[in-house]
Amino acid sequence: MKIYRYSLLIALAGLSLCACKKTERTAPEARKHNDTQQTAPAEAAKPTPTAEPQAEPQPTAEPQPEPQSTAEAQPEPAVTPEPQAEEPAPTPAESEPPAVPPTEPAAAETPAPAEPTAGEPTATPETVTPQPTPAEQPAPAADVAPTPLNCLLSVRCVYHSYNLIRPWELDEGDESTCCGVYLGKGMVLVPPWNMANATYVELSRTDGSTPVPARVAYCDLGIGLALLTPVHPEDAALFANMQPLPVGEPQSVGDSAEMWGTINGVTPQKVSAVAESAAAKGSSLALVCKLAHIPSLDERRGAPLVKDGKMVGMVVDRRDEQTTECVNADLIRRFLEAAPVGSGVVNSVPVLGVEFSPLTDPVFRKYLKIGKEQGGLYVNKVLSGSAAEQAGIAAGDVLTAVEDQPIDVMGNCSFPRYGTLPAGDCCRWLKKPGEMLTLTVSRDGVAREVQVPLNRDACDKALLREMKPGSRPPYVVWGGLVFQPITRDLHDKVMRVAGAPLPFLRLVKEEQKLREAGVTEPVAITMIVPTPATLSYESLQCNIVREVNGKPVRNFAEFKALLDEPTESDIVSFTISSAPYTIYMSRKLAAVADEAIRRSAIPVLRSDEAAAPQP
Amino acid sequence: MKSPFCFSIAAVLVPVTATAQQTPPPPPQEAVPVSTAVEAVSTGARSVRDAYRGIVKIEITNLTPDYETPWQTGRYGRGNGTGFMVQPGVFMTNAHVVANSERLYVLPYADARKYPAKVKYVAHDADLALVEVEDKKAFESIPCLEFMDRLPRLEEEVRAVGYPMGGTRLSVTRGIVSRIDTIPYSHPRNIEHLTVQIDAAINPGNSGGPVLLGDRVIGVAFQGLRNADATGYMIPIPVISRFLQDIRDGRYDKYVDFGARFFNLENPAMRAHFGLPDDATGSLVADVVKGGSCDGVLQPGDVVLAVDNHPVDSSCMIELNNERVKMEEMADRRFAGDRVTFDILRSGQKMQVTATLAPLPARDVKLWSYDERPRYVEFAGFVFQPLNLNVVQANDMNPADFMLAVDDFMNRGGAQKKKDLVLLTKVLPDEVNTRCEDFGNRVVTKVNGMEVTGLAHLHELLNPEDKSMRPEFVTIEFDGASRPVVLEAAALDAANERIRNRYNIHQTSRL
Repeated sequence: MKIYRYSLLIALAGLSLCACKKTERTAPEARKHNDTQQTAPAEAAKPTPTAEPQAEPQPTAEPQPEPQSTAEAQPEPAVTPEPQAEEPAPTPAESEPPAVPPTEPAAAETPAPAEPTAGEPTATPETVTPQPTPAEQPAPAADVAPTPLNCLLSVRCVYHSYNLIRPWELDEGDESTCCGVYLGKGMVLVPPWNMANATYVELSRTDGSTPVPARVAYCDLGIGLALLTPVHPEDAALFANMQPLPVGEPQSVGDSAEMWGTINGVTPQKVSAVAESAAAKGSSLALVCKLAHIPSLDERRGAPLVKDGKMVGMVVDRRDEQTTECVNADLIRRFLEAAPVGSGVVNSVPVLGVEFSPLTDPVFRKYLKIGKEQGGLYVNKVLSGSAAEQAGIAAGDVLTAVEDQPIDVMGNCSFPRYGTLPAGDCCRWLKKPGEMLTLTVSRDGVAREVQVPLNRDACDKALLREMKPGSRPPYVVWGGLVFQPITRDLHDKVMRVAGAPLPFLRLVKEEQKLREAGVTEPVAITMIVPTPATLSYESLQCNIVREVNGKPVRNFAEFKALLDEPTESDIVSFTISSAPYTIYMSRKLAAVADEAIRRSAIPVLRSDEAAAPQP
Repeated sequence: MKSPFCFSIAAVLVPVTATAQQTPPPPPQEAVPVSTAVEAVSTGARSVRDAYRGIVKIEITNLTPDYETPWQTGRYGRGNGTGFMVQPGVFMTNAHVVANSERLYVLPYADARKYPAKVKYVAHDADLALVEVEDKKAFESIPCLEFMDRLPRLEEEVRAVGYPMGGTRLSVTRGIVSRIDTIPYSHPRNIEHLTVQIDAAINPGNSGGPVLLGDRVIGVAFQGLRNADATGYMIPIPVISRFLQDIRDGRYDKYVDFGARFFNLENPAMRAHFGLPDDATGSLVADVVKGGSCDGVLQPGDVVLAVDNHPVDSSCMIELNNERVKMEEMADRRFAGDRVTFDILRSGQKMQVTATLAPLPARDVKLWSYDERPRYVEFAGFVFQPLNLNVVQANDMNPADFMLAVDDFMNRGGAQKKKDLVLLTKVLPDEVNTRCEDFGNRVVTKVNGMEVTGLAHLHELLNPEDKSMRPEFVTIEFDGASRPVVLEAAALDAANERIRNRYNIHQTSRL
């Protein structure tokens, strides 16, 4: 029963114990509602529009940002531009107008050109089609097929995230490298890894030549893919003599393909890979592929799975030396379809907002009046505001089928191409965001069908929402008190490092009451800097702020407004969630303390302020 | 049972020196004079050497209960400490020396004979006990030790006398009084009392022994500090005299508590809000424990200016017997039923309120328990135990899992509605409970839809007198669990029998 150990100073008065926590084996769905990475309110809108661009054929018509088109177009014969798109190797031409790229280092196919850029002045992104300039042709033209050396790039990403406890600082950060696949039009497909928190990204040829700074054009943390593009238009020369890798047909379990890579950047390498099974972990869906042998490769992550000259998957993670997890072509397509209208970092994977329990206990099944052969999952919790709640699912219901696929006794159901997956994952991946999912639900032995809208409301409307990845955490330092809105990230971090303070433990229990009071974003005092203004309050860290001067705090913006509201009295009162329940601060002393703090410790006292010029 | 703190290195034996001159003690105030409490017999010691004759070695065999598998016997152990005679045939020692004891022997000074003894009174929340020998005649000629009636002063020279490790005969170590403070007592944990720190070596075995100032007892040696040098602690006179006063009615009652939390009123803005001058007087009532002594008497937001006419300063301290101590020390010297008055400021109005002192509700949940066999219920392989420190420690539980439940129970009136917080601590695998092994350590909320108010109530719900009253499915709900445990009533009798036999459980409950 003992899984892991850690020491904890408990609230039962200063006692040190070694404690073990027994984890519960609940159905994978239990994590679902919380494991999704982000909820950028802006992006939330995105998913819907992306549903449209099924109309690939049109792309050329409308001005569109770089991404895909080429990739998508492959299967569609109707698309005129596409064929050309592939030929003209001098892709740089397409993407950037000026581009007078200094000739690439020898490497790669000689067909010199690249200069043809001059021809492009059409400068239009979609250039694809109208490239009459013969200049492009010099490029390998239709004969050149993609190879590991001409369609892969090396990606280097330096990333830092903000320190949640000292939100004016960045954490130490780290660096990682991976492989990227050239898609044409200056776009490189990569696994997202830490791209959302990237401070510096660099693209180069696989041998390390022509490194150029790059930026994240679009990233979907749910599907697990991102698009990079050079920051400076002239750096498009990086792609001279490169061949975009088109996207092929998605694989099924049992299919085989080749994993492409390089050794030392110059030797191409192809390893046979068989899709053995499927895995849905966290928020991503992947095929687990077994390699024929343990390859020597510069990079695995980002390596494409190729079949018949087309990309049918991309490696996003490695399980061991011979096993990789790969995003399948169907998701790559879905991602690229959304890319034109999307930008920034999103998570497009819907969240039902349900916690499931398995129905493996035969007595429990009898009690729920579930037949002996019948499978299903027990709904033990439905999150407030979630899609499941909108559909009328409630705790105590038993989910028996997803679309027309029955759920078996272990809680799995069959998923085309991927084999058998936990039902919760099927719910998330079977259909696209914005569509409706049909679920069969049973209660007291009576079955009914419900239509569940596929959205992320469970996350977007949660009391504790996830931070937008890569964003700066909001905060206010006032008089020595550090105020922050409680995001899920901050909550989890505080629970880990501050030993589960009681007010934070209560948050979960009090959620219903808080919602009824209109609270949409709880605000906490996360740290107290000792100053004359905070004298004797130092032990009150990690407290929820309920009121300012007697007025309720329902979100961070409201809190800031209340704090700044001028009052006749010099004294500001904060109602907090632990004894002594109300603290008082002097505005004058707070202002003096702020000055001192700004000068010596924290130059920017509010996250929405520009740094004050240093004297 | 030894204190969990380690002691510093072995004692250095120093020759006993003549005592310092006695200074007249200040008149005692709240503390009852120890001499009258003990009713010392006229055979009091007349000299230092005389006093040593009343210091004995106490040998015990103890049985430490098993809180992890509560139907099992427990572990036998042995240990020894020191005691000193305060009445004919009655010796004072530490509670932790005699905790869980099965057999006690008293070995007189310079004598190898062992005299059987029994615990007469024990105060686990003060780490003190009185032990009585069966054969008092053996101790007739031995003088009783007398107590001082005051706290020591810093730097006064004292001697710790007892039977610590490093030999078998009486040992004396000498030092000075280093500090007078309120610190947690490691027996029973999670409770604080006045303590005096001395730098005389106090080692395992010294526990329960007297610390002498001249020929009189000024404290009982009881614990040390790990990772520190020359830091020993003794239980001072106020704690001892309270214990002796409490047992005069033939029974030891618990410590009482104000049942309120106080907060320093030092922040200038806070003082301005309450209209207090800048003179370091008055402390804030931060919280009031529901069901405690001050429930309905004090309110959060009251400013306490004095307690029983002792002015309170802005750091929650009062002056008691010429010492500045925390306010709570006053409650530490009182008894259940005593009344205490507070002079307060409420919404700008000066008032006086009175509280009747009582122990903190459900206090024992956070203290270590001794001298009792673990309570439990075993049913269909599920083992239920009432939440307390012993259970949490023995089952390696994560206290964070219960912090909220314990806070509600102890501070927010939960103890008035429930007798125990009942936990599921273990599942003994059997066909009747497969798939239920992952329920972990959780608080039981309901059985068959009825709220569970304690261990006995749980037992009643699970084992109704009339078995035909059982519903077809017995459901047990837990706080924060993903689903209820469901048992088929028809299978229960056979299952209980089978589990009892397989797991060797002779008694399926101890309420």
